[in-house]
Amino acid sequence: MSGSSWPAVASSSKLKEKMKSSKILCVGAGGIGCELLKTLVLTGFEDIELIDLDTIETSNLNRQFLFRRRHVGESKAKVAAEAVRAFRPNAKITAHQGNVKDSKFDKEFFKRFALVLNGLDNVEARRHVNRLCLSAGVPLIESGTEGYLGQVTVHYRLKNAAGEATHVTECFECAPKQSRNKTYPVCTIRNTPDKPIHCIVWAKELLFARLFGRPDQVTDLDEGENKEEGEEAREEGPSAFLRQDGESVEAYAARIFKRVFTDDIENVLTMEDLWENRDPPSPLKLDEILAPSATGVGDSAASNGNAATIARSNGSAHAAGDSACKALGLTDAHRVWNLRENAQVFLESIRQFLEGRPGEVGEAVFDKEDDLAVEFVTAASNLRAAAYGIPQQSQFDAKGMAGNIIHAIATTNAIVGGLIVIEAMKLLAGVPEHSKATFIAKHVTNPKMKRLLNAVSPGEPSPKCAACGTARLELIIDTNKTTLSQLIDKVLRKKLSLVEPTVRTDAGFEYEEGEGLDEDEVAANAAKLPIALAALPGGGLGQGVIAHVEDQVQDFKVAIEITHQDDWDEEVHPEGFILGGSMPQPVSVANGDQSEAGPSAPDGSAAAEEDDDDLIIMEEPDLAQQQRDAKGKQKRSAEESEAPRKRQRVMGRSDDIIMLD
Amino acid sequence: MAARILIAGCSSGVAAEVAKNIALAGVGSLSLLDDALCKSEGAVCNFLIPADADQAQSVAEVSAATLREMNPLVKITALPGSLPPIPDVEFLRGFEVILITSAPFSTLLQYDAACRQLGVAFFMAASCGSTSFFFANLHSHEYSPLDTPAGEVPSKGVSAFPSLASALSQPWKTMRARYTHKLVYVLRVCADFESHAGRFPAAADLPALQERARELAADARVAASADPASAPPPRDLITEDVMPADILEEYVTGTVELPPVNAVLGGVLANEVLKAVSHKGEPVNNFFFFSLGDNVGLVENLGEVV
Repeated sequence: MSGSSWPAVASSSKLKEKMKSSKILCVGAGGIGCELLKTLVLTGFEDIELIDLDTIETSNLNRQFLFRRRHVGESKAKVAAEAVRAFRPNAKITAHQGNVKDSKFDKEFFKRFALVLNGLDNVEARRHVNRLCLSAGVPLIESGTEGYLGQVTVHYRLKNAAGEATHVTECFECAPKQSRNKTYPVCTIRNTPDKPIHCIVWAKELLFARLFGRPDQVTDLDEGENKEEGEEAREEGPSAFLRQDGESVEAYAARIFKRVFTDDIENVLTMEDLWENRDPPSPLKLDEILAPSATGVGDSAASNGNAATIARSNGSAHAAGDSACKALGLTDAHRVWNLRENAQVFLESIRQFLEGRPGEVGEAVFDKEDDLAVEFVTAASNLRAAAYGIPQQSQFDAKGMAGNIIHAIATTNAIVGGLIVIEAMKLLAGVPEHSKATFIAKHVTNPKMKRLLNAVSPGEPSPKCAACGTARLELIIDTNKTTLSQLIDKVLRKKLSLVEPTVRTDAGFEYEEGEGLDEDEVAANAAKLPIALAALPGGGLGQGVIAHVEDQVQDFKVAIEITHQDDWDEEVHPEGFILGGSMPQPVSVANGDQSEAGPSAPDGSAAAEEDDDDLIIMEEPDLAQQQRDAKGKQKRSAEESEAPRKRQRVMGRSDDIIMLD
Repeated sequence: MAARILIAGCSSGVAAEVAKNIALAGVGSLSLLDDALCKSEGAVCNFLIPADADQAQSVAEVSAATLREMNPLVKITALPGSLPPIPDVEFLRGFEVILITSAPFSTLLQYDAACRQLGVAFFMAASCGSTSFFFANLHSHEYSPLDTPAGEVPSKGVSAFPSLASALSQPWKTMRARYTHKLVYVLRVCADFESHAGRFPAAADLPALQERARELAADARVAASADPASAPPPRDLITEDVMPADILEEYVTGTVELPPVNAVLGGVLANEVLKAVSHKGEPVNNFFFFSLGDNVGLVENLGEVV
């Protein structure tokens, strides 16, 4: 069985030797990274370097199985490296706690490796690694997961001894990324929500779980949160969210209301720096909302007294535990409730949960088919939205949004880790003709070819690709109103994922960033930032100018032809520009939040580096779409989905993946 | 949710993968049964066993200790002894799901039948070199779909499973060359061999097994031509070389486990164990195959529901 063809070669001693001696770079030690590292060392890889910026959090422990409670706060890369040595002491694993975008991980660094394996789940970092792999000529194995869906793809340009390309695949950026998935940083969810979905995530993942979910996990979480987020530590523990002995259900519900919509809002108002550039929230007062003179009175059948008394008068004092809306006479799921109704539903749904389903309290899991759970989440989310001045949602819409929150799943990470190693083995065994792009499906769809994992040949490179092809981009923008600084932030960093952009024109305009500049040069470049594009020195960046944009870190070059346009309709083009040609698609707006709320990232890149994959909020089922596209097609065309975008540290509670009810 | 899951035979890498995935998912309780010692050769791919583990302890004990660290919320028990060849009904009654990773066909068939009587979900799994598979028997299994389109009422589904005995005796004339996984023929021939010889085949039996496969394939072609109505179309008819020698050899000698294959099989299998317990999501009915050769994870339904 020691043939030279795949898969016989998989068990050959020659490949074993190769795996032992080849230097492998793993980027990411999170959900995929832990699984990948474990499978790599079990398979016989012994020389591995691992990069991850993050430290371990309590919320990682239910998927990132190399980490233990005692490791919380330590470097993921370092702990993962130690953990696998427990079962393979011979493995040499060098851990780097750092951002893969750091300049020390440059082209020369990448060149040292036989293969680069990505366990990242953030598109900016994945593009960055892709560009460095292209530049260094190192094969890249890419991965992504989205709930039960997953994919592993290979990207390389292999050459023979004469330097001729023998096997060439698409690069990670050849196919435009069309995902509209969004992820949100924890600070936004916890302190500075500005969209309805932020409130839904908070209501479902944090509050619902805290009131009705497993209490043992809440403990660790509160600790971790207070430490990490630097939030004022509270004297009371998580028991503040539990019903006290002798406390009536009504008093408990009212106390929770006060805690989360009055006290917590007042508390967050004291963090003044948060509100310098934002509208501060307003605490809600339950008495005022329920007072007979309150605004919005009269919309519902239950327009006087508090929710509990109404429920009683409706004859549901025994609390069936199936629907607060039924008890309150709110029958139209498409109508957005007013503030009073939201408060009533909030109180009544807590009451029904406690009285109607006492057995579930403490281990309930949100289910979008559970009316009471959806009602609670809708009301809690809307109340929070009201405090923050965010539009509120109907029960129907809130249900859809809550149902689209996707949790990372340990088994998918494990499968993806295995598939990455299989592709790595093929490349080391010298059988790239057997390389596959593999897709994990949620369930079998084709009754004839019942496949849970489907594999196709890697895609062809796109000549139009900005990263590996010969693209010229077209930028339409208001060159009189847009400053250089805006161009760099909105277009070059956010849209093109550049780290240290340099801009030059043939006429002599020049802008540089990065190391190797003296103070005068830095000052001269900085002075150009607030100037409108057309007015810049050296001929400027006006109508018809071709800007040569480069990123030396990424070894990325592209020419951008500029077209001026006045009058932008914000509704149609909220970004205020159009970037045409083949290019990486925009990164989700969530990254804007990250740079302002992120820990200490001067340019937002550190925050964007987060490679955890706790929670994905989907607006489009992209990976599913991609799988459909791949099906039956050996060559995938333009529709490769972007990796799941995800957020980290959004509420540790969110990722108690309890797949069982 | 107090699901009780038993993994019998937890030396292998596949068992370790499944156990890890189940422990992380946080089900009620997981019991491990395997009295092999940590130093045993079969346990090299079990990453739950630290290199410095007490070599006199069983793989079940050491694995359970690691899993407890991984998720302190899940009750994880190492049971003494090993799987009795004859099922003990009282013992089996204590579980909702059992997974057997290594046992002779005679034992597997008895456990499958006993589980059917008790309504205990039965899984068996093996990773053998470049190929791997698991078999599931959830008997009559009700489930709700994983996701229902907004506004629709979720419709309950029922999946009826054939017994292992029926699955292993599906007539070859009904097999379709293009679709049926090669390992099906291997399993069938080896089960057949064991029922006659009273033991699992060894490397020396490979020629006899090949011969048996040729016979069965030839019989199938004769049967198919005698009854064209129920036979597959001619291009799907199996040929005498239907069973590749390398896959047969890997399965029979059974010494090589490839960790990436374990990871894939263990991930899919853990999902199925969790589905069996949660009754959420359409289950795999009743074989799943994953092969290194094509990276395809294939579901097949073999046998008949009685």
